[in-house]
Amino acid sequence: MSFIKRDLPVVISFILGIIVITQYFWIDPTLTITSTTIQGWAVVIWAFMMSIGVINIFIRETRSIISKKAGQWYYSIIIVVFLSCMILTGIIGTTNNPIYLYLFNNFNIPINQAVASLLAFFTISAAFRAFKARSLEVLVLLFSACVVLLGNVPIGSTISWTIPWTRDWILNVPNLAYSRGINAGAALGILGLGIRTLLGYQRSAYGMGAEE
Amino acid sequence: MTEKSIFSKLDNIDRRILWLIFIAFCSIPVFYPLGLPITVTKPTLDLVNAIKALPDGSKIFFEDDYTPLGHQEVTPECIAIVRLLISKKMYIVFASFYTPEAALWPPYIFNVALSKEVEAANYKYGVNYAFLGFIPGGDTSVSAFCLKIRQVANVDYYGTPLDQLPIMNNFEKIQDFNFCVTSGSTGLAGMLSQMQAPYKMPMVILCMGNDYSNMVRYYQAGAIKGLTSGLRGAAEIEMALNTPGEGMSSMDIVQGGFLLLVTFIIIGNISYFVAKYRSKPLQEGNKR
Amino acid sequence: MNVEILIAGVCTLGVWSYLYKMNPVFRVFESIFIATAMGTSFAFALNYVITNAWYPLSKGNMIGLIPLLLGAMCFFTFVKKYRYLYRIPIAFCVGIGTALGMRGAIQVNLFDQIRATITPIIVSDPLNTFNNIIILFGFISVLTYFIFTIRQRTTSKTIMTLSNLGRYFMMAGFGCEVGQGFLTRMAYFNGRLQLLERTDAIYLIPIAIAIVIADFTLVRQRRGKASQDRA
Repeated sequence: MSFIKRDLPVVISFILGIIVITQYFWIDPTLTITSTTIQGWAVVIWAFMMSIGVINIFIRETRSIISKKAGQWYYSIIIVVFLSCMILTGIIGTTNNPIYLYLFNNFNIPINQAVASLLAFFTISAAFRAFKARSLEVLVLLFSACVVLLGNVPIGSTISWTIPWTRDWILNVPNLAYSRGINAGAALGILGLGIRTLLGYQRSAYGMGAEE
Repeated sequence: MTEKSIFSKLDNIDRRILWLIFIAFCSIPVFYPLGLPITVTKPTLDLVNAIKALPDGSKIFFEDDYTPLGHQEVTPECIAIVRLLISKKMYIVFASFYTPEAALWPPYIFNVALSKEVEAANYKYGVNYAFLGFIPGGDTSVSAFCLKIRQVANVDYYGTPLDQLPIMNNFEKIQDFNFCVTSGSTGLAGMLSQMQAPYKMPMVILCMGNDYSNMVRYYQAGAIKGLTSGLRGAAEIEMALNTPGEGMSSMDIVQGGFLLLVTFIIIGNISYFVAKYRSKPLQEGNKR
Repeated sequence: MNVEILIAGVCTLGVWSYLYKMNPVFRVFESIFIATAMGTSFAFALNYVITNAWYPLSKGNMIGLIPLLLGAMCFFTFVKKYRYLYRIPIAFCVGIGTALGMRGAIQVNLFDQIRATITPIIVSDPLNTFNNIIILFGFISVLTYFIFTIRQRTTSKTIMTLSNLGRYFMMAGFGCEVGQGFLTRMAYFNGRLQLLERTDAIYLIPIAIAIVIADFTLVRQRRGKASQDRA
């Protein structure tokens, strides 16, 4: 039982990982078919996993309604009602159902974009109150931010031809160096973490705690 | 004394006043558009030229992976590019791997935004273009899709088996496509690592504004043939193709916000440094 | 009067009411957003299982049963006694996803980027040569910043200096991200502003302003009354 709980997931992960990595480097028809098949199965498992979070929310909000959680239960009713409508209409007639599309186009999209637009407001107030050049490094940050901001809009080139030129230089030279350096480091980190995960040294990905 | 109190008041200003100024300032171009010209940058020009260089009737895989958040930025870019693809009679297959809602954008683009162009070009669903919908799994689904399309997609977005769509008879794996257009935000790195790198797929990217600084390195390394981002990218594509649309009309409001942001940064720093200077203790001779 | 435009306008102003202060109207729209977003992904996922995953079984290919059974094992997360069984489908995805991530990251983020950085450095154009040298220098200095296996301060002054210079390149990069990121945020704002000011939703603005003024006045009255009672 301990093998099924602790070691079987690592063994499965290792074998499948080796198949997928080997298929990348060694062109073999059997290996390619096996790799393709197991990747197709993983896609189906992903589809099931996407539903777990939704079911969790459904259970939590229903509990909130039943227990009449103070200050929350009326919002939970709204969540449960809208969630049920979206799921039922999305299944009956698939996602082409007119009611599903109506709810998505007229509620999800405007609210989603309105919530995201709040970020513009917070950035504006942060620019005034928080973006202070307290050191040389922050000054470099603010300078490159201002140049990129002005260079992105037509009025920047109207003010001076140097603004869009400097913007392009900053994006294609220091930003490029930073971007390459950060992501090269991240790639090495992914390689290290991947080896640890496949060999079973890092088990948090399987939902096991430190004691396991 | 008076200067100090003004700057300290500025430092502690209610942010709702700043927000009202922001809304008012950005509302001016809505009613009085400036219409300043936009310069088309090299990555966008390379993107447009890469597509224009393709022979008519090429087979394009169009990956769209953006949420309703990206709808405002990326859809104008996609509309401009799809208009160009239709004008060149390309065969286009759409799919999304990272964002479920992204499966809804291609029907919107073809049936609403470009309905006139589609009708004028006599474009038929299933013959000239197809929507494969959302295939869950992220990198896994991209990789499996590239190896064998029917391993992960057996029916299209409308539930029709792929064998009943004439266009899909041409496609078994990713190498059957000539070109790939990737749009969105979530799946850019995945598409590059699972589709472009292993199969050397010619690819261009239409991304959101905040992804541009990260994607530049792939453009500079030659991994992608062209790159454009956000509303500015949409405006540049429209400028390059001479098809004015939402991108160009939105730049006035965007530049109002940008100008205000830069102004606030400058004013905020001036008030900070003046307040800092004034708070230094006086030395001999009443100097700081 | 387009009803959909009015609904979108009400949703926008309802969310923007958060800028005035946290209020129940904002909470209502926040709840609707959570529900519709979750419902969307669930509907798509379930549709995929019903259409694509079921398809091989409908053609008589019984091997298609394996991924469905593995997927169904995910639901053991809700059964306390057999919760450990959900690790098996997770292991499936972790193994394949890790392998795909490793092979992709190394090729695209490491080899291609190193190759692009070092070839070529010296070119015919002196400005491009200068830029290439700066990029190479910045690339090495940023990587040096992330060396944590040695104590940089005590090991070598050169590494320490290089690492500090890498910070300036990172600050330039962060500045670019701030600038480009605001482009995205302005795009969100632009959409909502154009909806409110260029369509029928403009008639909702005076109503919203009246509600805010009424609430502001009521709050001030209540505060005035409370301070009078205290006195």
